[in-house]
Amino acid sequence: MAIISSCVNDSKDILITVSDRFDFSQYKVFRETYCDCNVAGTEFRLDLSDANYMDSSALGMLLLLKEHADKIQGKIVIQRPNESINKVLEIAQFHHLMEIVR
Amino acid sequence: MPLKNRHVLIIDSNEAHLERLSSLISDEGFRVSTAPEGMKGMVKYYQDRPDLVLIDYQIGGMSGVECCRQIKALSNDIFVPVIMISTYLNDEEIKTCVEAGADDIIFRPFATAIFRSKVYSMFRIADLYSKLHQLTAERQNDEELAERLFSQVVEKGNIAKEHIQIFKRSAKTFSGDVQLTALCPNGDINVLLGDFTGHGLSSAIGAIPLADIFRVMTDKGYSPLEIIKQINRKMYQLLPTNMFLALSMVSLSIHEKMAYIWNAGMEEVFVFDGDSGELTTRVASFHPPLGIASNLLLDMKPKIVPIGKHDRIIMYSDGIVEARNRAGEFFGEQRLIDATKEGFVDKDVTGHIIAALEVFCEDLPQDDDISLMDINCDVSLYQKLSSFSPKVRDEVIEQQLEMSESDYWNWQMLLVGDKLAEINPIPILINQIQEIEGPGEQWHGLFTVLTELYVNALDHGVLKLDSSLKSSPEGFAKYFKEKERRMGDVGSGYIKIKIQHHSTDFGGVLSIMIIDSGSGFEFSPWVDADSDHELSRNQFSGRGIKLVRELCDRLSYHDNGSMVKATYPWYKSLNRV
Repeated sequence: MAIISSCVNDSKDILITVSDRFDFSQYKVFRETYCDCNVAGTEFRLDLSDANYMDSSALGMLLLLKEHADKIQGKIVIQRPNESINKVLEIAQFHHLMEIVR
Repeated sequence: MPLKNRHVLIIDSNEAHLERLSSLISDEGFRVSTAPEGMKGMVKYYQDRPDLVLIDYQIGGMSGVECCRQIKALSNDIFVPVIMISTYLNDEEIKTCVEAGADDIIFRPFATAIFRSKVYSMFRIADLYSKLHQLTAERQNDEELAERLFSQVVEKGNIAKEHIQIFKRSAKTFSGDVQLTALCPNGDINVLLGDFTGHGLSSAIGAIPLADIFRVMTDKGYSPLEIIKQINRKMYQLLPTNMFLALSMVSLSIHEKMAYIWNAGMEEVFVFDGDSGELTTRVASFHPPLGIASNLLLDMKPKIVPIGKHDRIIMYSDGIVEARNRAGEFFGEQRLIDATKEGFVDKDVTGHIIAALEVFCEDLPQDDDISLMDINCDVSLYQKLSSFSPKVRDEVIEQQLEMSESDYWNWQMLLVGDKLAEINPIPILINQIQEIEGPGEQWHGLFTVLTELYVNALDHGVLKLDSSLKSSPEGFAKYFKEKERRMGDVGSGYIKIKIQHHSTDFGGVLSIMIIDSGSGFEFSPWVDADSDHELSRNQFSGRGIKLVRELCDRLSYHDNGSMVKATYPWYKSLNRV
């Protein structure tokens, strides 16, 4: 399975792991990882270390996650994008919108 | 299709078999045709257009396998399932059946229940195929519509196509790259390359408003930054959260010989030096794509690059660097740069890039649109597009012998303090004049005159900036930074603009007066008649005033430079001269 989500250390934070391709085909699964989480202040950690491809519709999916996180005063942290994904994030200048930890 | 109306063709040379199969099929309520051998079976197939064909492997005439092959060949865009029936088939025979296109094989003797279930499952698969076929046709229709929209509506108004070459190759799924060019009232050229998220018709939603804003605002003389801000606002309103517009924009300042470059989420914009053919400047994305937030997230300061006669600016979207060859490699940035360099040699940059791309990709279908804009930086090419030649204008002025005083209007505006930082009065003024006197290209020169005089009053009068700062490209940036800082604290500074218009037989004369709150500035070298020498390329200041002098009938500074008066004649139509 390409997208897995889990709770972090019994805290309210959610770790979402995306592997292989992060594109529109993951739309539904990706959305399901966060849409039911309405706990204020939740931190969504998106681990991309096993993902090797990301397209512009995945950027759009990140914006949807951000919209959700903003609504519940939460935040997003993108972790360990590989070089090609980091380039996509950089061209889109997404570090102005969310935290990206390499 | 309702199950009842389905039609089944049975081809079998054994009469007992034929009868049994027929009754099984009719018991389910389906229509049946039969044929005793292959050739007759093909005839029946033509006549009845069945939804399912059952063929006995050992029929006479044309062989069962050949029958199957022909039916599959004839039904290429619809799915007609074929089931082969036989008592025994060896591995090789099974293989031939499958290769001929058979969808299933049933071995005798078979249980009725199994036979029935195979028939129904074939119909279910056929239904899926027909649904898929219908959806594909609908999508193709949508994509054709999107493509038509882009090429005919959106990109039709582009200008200077021979100097700003646009190359576009749509991928199989249309992805929505937009390429736009437009002429500013002062003769500058705005070039835009946009890439909407997504594919198909959905990516075309924003294209029409994008083109409208770009064209209308360029035409009215709004600055590129104001245009970008408005595009962002509109896209934010229009596009859903997960969609946005990556955009790069180049504004060629014809008088300054500068390119102003913005990049929000696009691949790097390349500037190639015409003399060496080398890539000298890369402008990487410095802002997220547009339509994500209601206002721009950061100050979007353009990269300002001086441009020479043979320089080229290349804008492209990711489709070109991500184009793949048979081995799955990307075309990549380096091949694009190399092809551009080669293009300098025989002066066909676009041609070389396309050729390199074609050699690389052969005929492979691509995932994404490929789009490229190749801007020739020779500003003299664009001067023909706007304004009119000074010589003809002089003749017009000489013929303006009498003014009819009865036809007169005036307009004035006073901007004080913070309003100076917020409002650019020139587009408003040009708009007013066009409302009263009608639109036309006679206002292009006026736009330049007003902008130059206004900017001088603001920069050197109200803000007291020293134009000698602009003597180098680095100073240019410093100048704008300082300007921005001082704009934040204008205090009680003001600028007053007054326009008077007299109609003449040929058009009219505008008297322009601009007064600022400053204490004046050193204007004499600019208006001194003897200083009319060619300005060197690296001299960035004073060029504006020289131009104003060329465009105006009269130009004079008063009160140490805090008041300027200019007279601008215009004519209705060149044909009347």
